[in-house]
Amino acid sequence: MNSALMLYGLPSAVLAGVIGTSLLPQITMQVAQGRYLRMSQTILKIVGASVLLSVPAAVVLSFLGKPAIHIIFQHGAFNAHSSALTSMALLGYAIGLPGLTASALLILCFYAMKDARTPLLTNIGTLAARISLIVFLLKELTGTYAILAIPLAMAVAGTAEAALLSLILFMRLRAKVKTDKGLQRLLKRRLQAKSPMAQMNITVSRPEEPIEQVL
Amino acid sequence: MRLLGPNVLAVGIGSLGFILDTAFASYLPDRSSIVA
Repeated sequence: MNSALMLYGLPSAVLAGVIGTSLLPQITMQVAQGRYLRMSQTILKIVGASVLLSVPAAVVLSFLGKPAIHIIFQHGAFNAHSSALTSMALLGYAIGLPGLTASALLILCFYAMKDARTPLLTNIGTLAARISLIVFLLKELTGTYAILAIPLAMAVAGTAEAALLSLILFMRLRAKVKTDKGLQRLLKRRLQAKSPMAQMNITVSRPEEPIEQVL
Repeated sequence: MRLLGPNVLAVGIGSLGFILDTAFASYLPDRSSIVA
């Protein structure tokens, strides 16, 4: 379990840790400016890209895990049997990589919105789900597959947490779109453009900014 | 404090998950499971 977790930690730290660190200041700034539409676009882009990158990373981890374990760990007391068990555990962790990456990044989005309570509640729910799944899988899986119980429970609970967090975030951002500063500016500009005075000024005013810049 | 309190608890729960993983790993039939 420990060796597999160490190997799983590398792609996880790169995808969730590094990207999350660079994502947090950007979305915090967008929240402070009240630009929720732009924030949702940023989240979609960054979290989507991270999840897309984590899928090949998980595939690489599951295929190259065994030779890597053989080279790195299989010395002395760590024999071929230990290698086989580690690669099996790593397979379970690799399944959960996309979900756990998304979950780690989505939690940061809540922190940016000054909400630490929602991630706490989902964490408690995930822990409860994880324990229940471990107990269930320990009964169901036998032999060499028994080691899959703990990583699989973590993967399933983490993926479910990511789905729940994205749903809550989507609903919260949807409710805040009405107060979006960029959208309000755009609507104000459109209303001004429709007024007769503004139509007279169109000929001398600068060309309209594209929507992307306004938002 | 509004952010710190829940965050401390969330980190604690995250760590507790790994501690419980190790505790459950000792129930696995293979003795090499914890190290693996």
